[in-house]
Amino acid sequence: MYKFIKYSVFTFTALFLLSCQNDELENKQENAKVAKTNLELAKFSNLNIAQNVEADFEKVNEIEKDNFKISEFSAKEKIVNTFESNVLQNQLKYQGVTIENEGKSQSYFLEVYTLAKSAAYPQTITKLKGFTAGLNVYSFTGENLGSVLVRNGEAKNISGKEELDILTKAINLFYAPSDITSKIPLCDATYTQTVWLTQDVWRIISNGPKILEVIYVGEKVTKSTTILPYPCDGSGDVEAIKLQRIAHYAHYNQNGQYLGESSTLDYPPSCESFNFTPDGSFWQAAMVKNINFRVIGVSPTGVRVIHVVSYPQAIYFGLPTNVINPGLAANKSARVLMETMQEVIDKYGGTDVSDLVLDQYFRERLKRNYPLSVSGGRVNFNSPSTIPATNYIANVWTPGNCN
Amino acid sequence: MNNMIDKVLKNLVYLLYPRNICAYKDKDEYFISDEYKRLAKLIADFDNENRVGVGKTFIEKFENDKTLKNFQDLSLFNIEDRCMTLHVTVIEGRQLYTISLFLSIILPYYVVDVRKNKIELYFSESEITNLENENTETRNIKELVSEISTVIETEFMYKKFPNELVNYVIEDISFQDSEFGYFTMYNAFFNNVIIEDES
Repeated sequence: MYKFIKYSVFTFTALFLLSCQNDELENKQENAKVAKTNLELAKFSNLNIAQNVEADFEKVNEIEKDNFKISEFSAKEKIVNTFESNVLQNQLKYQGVTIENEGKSQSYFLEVYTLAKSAAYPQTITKLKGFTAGLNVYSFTGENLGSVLVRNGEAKNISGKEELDILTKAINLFYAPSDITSKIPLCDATYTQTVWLTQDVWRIISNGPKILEVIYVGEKVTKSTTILPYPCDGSGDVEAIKLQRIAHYAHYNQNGQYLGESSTLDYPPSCESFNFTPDGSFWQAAMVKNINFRVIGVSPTGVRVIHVVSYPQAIYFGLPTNVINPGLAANKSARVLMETMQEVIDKYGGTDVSDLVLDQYFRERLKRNYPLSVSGGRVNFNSPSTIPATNYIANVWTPGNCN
Repeated sequence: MNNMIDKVLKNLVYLLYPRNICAYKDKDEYFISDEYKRLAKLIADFDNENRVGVGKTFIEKFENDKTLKNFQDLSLFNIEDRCMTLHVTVIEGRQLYTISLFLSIILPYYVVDVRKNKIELYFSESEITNLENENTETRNIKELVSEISTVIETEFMYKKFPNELVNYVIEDISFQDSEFGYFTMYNAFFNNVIIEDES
């Protein structure tokens, strides 16, 4: 009887714990869903954030302390911009935060300018010991709310805006002054960091896998500022100007048909690209046109070169019908396509490579990889099949589920 | 390489594939060429008249073999394969292999291709364990391939396509997605699948 009670208690405790874990997981997933719905990066007037930053809602960090409930997710640049500066670390960091306090909820999107001598940004506002930076703070819809200054983990609402109070208080909940930091001379001065973002606009015209012409359309310039703590050793530049430059590629075929922005070239293929239909007694096939992705290489002189690997013609993907159903076939096909694109990027990214080599390597790898993932699978880049072709679709996050 | 076979096979290739016409860029010219029309007719005729019967006959030869009886006819003439395609999948040493038997419909030659699949995409670890436990096959892949070859050679008089010819490039021929410089003897008589070197 004692044993029975002991096991029962254990079982119920385990069930209770599992149940708690499930509730916690569900809450996190719910919060991630809310953040994902509310965050509208495309609306940001800061072009680098609008076009070059992506959020990761898969890992949501949740912390509760006193009456504050903090939910955080990380974000990063798709193409990492680096710069040289004596004052700042050479990369900007990004993060999303939602804070609930006393019945109010406020969401912030942070652009982090970390001082060179500071610890690296830990991707959380709750562990900022030894961290010094200026936080350029936006709402989730792109409104610039002002700046919060963090010096050795202590936050100050420099802009004095009420909306930033909750963020400042939340950071300071975790601030614990140490003997060491208190011995550092006070450096209360600040300076304004000006960022000029220049966007080069290109128009790319292609025919089949070949790029026919690359036309430079012009440049768009935007300016943003943030306030930074003046470094204690006095090496900060008052009104320092930092320059960022990103490229924007609009893709067209030779008939002037618009094929999409280059930014989508970094997204994984969607399973919705593949519409598998019967092709004879034992086969199913999907024809997909306009498959494209990009590889960022370098020229012999070290300048970044963007190669667009593009296939306007329909590519044949064939599978035996007895192996898997059309939905699973689409899932697997998208996955193999994604892995093969990545294989090309891994091999040739950051190297001096020609478009022809990228084209040949991608074709060869896709034809080899496809049958390894689905037994008997076939790929043909110039097939006589008469199955209607569907347009290539890229997803923002994953290939998706079509089953 | 045997110079005589090289020449004989090349002559045959030139009867079925137009020289110096790019299959990508000059499709109109390609499709009206006598060589292509000859090839297309040969494939269509075989598909219409012989395909089901021949496939069945091959598979029946293995019907008493516990593993090879699972051969499936996956010939693909819709995209103008030049061969019959028979597949069987086997598990060995927790790995999943597909044995493909390609039988040319132009010449009495065959190729056996063994490919190790990404088993993790098909089965979980526990499923692999179950499959291994249920597997009563004692012959290894090499022995299975050897048995297939014996049956094909003795019963059907087919010969193994020479290894050195598989990747032999015919420079002035282009077909479907094989551009000039990439079209091989294997492509001419079988299909567009990439065959791994046996070495």
